[in-house]
Amino acid sequence: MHIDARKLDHDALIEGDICIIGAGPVGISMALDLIDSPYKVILLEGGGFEYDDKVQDLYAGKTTGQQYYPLKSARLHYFGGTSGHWGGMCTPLDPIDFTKRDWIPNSGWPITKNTLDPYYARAQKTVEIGPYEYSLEYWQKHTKDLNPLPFENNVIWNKMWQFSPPTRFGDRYKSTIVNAKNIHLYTFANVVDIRANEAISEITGVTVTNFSGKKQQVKAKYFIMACCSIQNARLLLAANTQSAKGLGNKNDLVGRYFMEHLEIKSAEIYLNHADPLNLYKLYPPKVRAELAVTAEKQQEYKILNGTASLSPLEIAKQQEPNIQSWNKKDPREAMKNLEKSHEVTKMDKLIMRLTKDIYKSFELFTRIEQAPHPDCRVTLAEEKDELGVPRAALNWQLSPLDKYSIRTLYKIIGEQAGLAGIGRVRMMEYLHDEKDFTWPKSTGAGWHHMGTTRMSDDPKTGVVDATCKIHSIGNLYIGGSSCFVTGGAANPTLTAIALGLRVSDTVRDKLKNNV
Amino acid sequence: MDRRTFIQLSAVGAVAVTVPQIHCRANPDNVLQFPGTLSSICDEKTICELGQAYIQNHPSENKSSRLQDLLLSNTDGKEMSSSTDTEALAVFLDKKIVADFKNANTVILKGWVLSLTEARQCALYSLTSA
Repeated sequence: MHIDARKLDHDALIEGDICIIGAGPVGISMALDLIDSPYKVILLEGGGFEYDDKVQDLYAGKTTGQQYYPLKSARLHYFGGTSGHWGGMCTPLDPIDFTKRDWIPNSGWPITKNTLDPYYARAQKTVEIGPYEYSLEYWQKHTKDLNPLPFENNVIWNKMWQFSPPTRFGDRYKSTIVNAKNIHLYTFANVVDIRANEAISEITGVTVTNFSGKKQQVKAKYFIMACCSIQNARLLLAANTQSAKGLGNKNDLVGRYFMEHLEIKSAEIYLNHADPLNLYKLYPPKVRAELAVTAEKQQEYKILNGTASLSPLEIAKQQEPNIQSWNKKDPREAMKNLEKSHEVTKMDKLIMRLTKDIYKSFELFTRIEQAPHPDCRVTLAEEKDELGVPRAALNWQLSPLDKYSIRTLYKIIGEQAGLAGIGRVRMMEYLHDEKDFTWPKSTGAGWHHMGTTRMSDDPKTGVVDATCKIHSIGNLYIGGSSCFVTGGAANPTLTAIALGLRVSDTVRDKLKNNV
Repeated sequence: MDRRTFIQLSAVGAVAVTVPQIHCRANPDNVLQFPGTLSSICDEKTICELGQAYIQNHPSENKSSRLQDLLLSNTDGKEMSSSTDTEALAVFLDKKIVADFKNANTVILKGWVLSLTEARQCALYSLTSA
């Protein structure tokens, strides 16, 4: 069922069992999961079904610290959310990502990868990819010519990826959601306030509004915030009428430990003999591998988890760094550039034809987690948006461990290339000096927002508990990547959806058991 | 082919030809100063620059005789004579290079991840060709 909130009366009351705030990939996945349940689900979306620049502007904010993309462009504010510019790359986090790593301050999740495995398997279906299989051996049985580089497998392993079409959740699931009897989708319903009981132990309702100026109240037994890292933190911090620090923020943790994946051109590998390297190809039919360092070696070298992807150097040299091509204030421009970066261009095709798609040199491109840091955070700016909510302010900070880890990753790959006798690796200039911890202008990120309501069993170190419930509030859950403790080397969408599905199961069980 | 594509293609061609494919003019008979794999990847000028960078970082090895001694011995105390036949010397050096990579006995020179042995070969080449 779909209701346009602009057409509702001022002060109308909307009631349900579960209220999901945000209709992006995580919010929609949870709603899909709750279809045909006996529960009335209110799904709130701030925008409509199409891009609207005035609505999108509600996401504009301020950035400081390391150069970052305009916040207005980094997330999309309409039904389907940021899946509208998603690249579709899927892989789960690794077991080591969940562990406490003594060389990475503030690492360690209160759950293991095993906890998420069944939810990953379910998330695979929502994003329309193959089986929950990520071993090279499995894919070698099903796809021809997936030959790995001859590296020692106790040092380097091949992290496999599957590719979603990519699923644009708005287009793909609109009719399913709108036709579901128990899902009540409200568009143009921007949450501007969250209210709790006097003890601030239960959420009693949220206020939604739009540019019509009318406001409605939403009441539910359970609330799940699924607006992604920056907006989740912003809403919790802005809900400060009952608690000056905002909701769930007794220990001053909301908004802290924001994380991105560093994405940056880092090195080149020159092979002795030309090779198509099909396993690592940029435009694969189904799967692709990236080079990753084993957990044992990460521990030995005390580095973060990251991967190196390979692109033929001739093709890679045609591509601008992400920080330049996605750095547009108008999200539509940024989106166009993102799509271009995933396209096989006329030029690429020409190069492939001339080289017979066999190459001697490849660019090595890094995707790596950043060390979680409390000062890398989202706060409220002084300026307010058109609906009266303070805008988000992001201070993106990187650390020496981040750069040390990138450099070490390529030292390890370089040593493996030498040992295997296949060629040599050359790092890019910004990695030459091991004592230099500055970052070049090409330093980019993946538009992967994580952290800000991190998970921990201890309220002093995390905003949500292991079930993604805000510690001090009985009926407020967070779905998605803002609960991440560390980022791993995996793009976050699959894990965010898996976590969301786990939350919807938890809430469903609570309702069933009348808790 | 339109003009823009032609210009881009010319640029690509230049990259493809000049970066990986220029062969070193070092004397392959003098295997001590001939980093085989590296010389199939980068040019003579680069090898000289890598050698100079190594010497700058290791001033105590700023002599051909010292570099030769180091290249002709390995960690097991085994030593080769510079008069050993070329083939045996090449095998000896190849083994040293593999062992360097295996044991992370590497150096990073101008971004290149090199075995210590081949870095010394570059250094020797830069001294002897100066």
